[in-house]
Amino acid sequence: MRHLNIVLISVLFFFSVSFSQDDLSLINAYSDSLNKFEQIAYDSNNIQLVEYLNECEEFLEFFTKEKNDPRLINYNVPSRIRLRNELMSAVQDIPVRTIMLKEQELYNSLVQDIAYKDLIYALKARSILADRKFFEKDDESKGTIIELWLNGAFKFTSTKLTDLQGPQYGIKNWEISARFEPIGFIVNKDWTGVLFSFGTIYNFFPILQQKNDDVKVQDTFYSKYIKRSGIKLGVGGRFEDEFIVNAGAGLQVRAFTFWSLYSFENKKVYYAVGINDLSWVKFFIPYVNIGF
Amino acid sequence: MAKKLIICTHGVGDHPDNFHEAWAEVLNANHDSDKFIVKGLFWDDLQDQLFDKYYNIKEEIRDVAEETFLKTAYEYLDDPDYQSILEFIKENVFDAVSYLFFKEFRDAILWPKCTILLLEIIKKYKSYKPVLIGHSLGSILLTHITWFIRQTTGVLNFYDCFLIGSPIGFRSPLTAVPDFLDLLANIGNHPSRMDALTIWAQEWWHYKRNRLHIIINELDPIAWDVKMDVGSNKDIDIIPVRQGLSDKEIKRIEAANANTMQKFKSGSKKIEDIFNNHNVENYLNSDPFKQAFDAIL
Repeated sequence: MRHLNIVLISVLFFFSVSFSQDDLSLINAYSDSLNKFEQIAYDSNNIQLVEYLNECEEFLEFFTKEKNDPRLINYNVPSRIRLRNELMSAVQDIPVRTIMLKEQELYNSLVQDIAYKDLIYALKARSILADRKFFEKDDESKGTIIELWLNGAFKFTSTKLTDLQGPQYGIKNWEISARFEPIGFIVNKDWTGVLFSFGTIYNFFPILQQKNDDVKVQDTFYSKYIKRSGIKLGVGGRFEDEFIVNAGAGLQVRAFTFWSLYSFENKKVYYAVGINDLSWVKFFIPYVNIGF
Repeated sequence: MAKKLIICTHGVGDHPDNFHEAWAEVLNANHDSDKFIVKGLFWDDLQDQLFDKYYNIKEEIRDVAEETFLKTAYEYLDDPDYQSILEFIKENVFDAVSYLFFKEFRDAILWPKCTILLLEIIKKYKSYKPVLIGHSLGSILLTHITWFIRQTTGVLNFYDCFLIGSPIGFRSPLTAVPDFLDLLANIGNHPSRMDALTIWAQEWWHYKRNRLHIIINELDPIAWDVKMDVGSNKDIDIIPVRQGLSDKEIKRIEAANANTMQKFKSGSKKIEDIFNNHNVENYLNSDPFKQAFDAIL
């Protein structure tokens, strides 16, 4: 109770100028619901309820202090959610549930606008990075089903759903590449081939900045010109009169991989260039119809 | 009373970006159209983006599905007369499997972009009270993104939610593939799918008033485990995994949020009726839906 009064006094004396009458009414109502909570918590000696109550008080303190520059991201939402989940699992008591619902309704009214604004911004930022990573030129086609699955299976590549903090907004720079790659040999230009390549690629992302409610994209040298780079291993072969098995390692920059390949037939090393995004083939040879 | 903003979310298959207009026609015919407006959450294009990029993805998933989820369907429906039915089942299963199997697609692209779409519709029509209607896989998408919003902002503030023709009880037979309730548990950091289901249903409960409706046609094999007449001697469960909620799960939901589950029967068990039984218009015209919808206006 004492804690709540301090919060309210702070609100009235220091921050009242920045609150509308509606907000002040909501804050008062929120504070009243916490007082009721407090009474039940002490009467029932329910530790989970006390913890949740403390969390609600922290939220009220956050909200009243942050009103001039409200960013929900600065409030510990996961902690509130965790405590709320625990309490909802444990509590069947109707008065407690009713107060919880009242508290939630007031919380919604207080934070919904800023919460939605923050979330939309963070997800727009995430979408920009995801589009760069998965759908932009140099990687717009043609991944394999294995690649798609692998990128979701490993922590260093998979998006962290609830991470809404910049600069990455949950999107990882690393990705796994596992796809077929046409190659052309450098020394003997008549030779072509195909490799199944597997490796890890690092994506260079632009810097994202908030401009009003929109995301401003500022490219760096790396995000604009290099875009992605990584090391890969490949197994496949070249088409001469027959298919000759080659294997080796390559360095990918943007959509192109520079391969050093060992030929098992004559035990020699050859150099080749691979194209990671097959739409580049169409760029170089427009009349070729890529039927993948 | 404030007008309601009805946000429709389509399920699997091909949909035009104005798909919600067909839904609006049915809603306007059955209810007082002065009390609501209808908008659509269109997400078909996002799945197309995935299919365009990943080589052969449809065929590869179909091969897996053929050996698992669709084994029975192939056994009984691999006949020229049943081609369109088999295609319909394949399309449903394929979209559901790709939704479940590809975490990176969901977390980086599908859920974020659909969440933005949903919140921007709500923001644009701020003076309206948002009511969500999701059909088939669209109901699953709505369930997940609203839970994601709740998990990241602490806010779950929708006036009402209708999940129609929803295979939410689907239980994955493959350990590598999570099911819809597993995903709900993952989003909310719940220890189990049962915990997730309970807390999810509780959160939707509000002042003893229904805010959550799961409406199921018991003759809809996409959303319920019904055995269909495929012309053989006995009725067959053509998707031999569990799609509907179990009795235990229904009890949990009802304990947390009474009268959430509403079932009805429309259509017949004939396999040819599968389209009609799962059709969104069939659901919007059902008595449980109409009654529940009238109650919120």
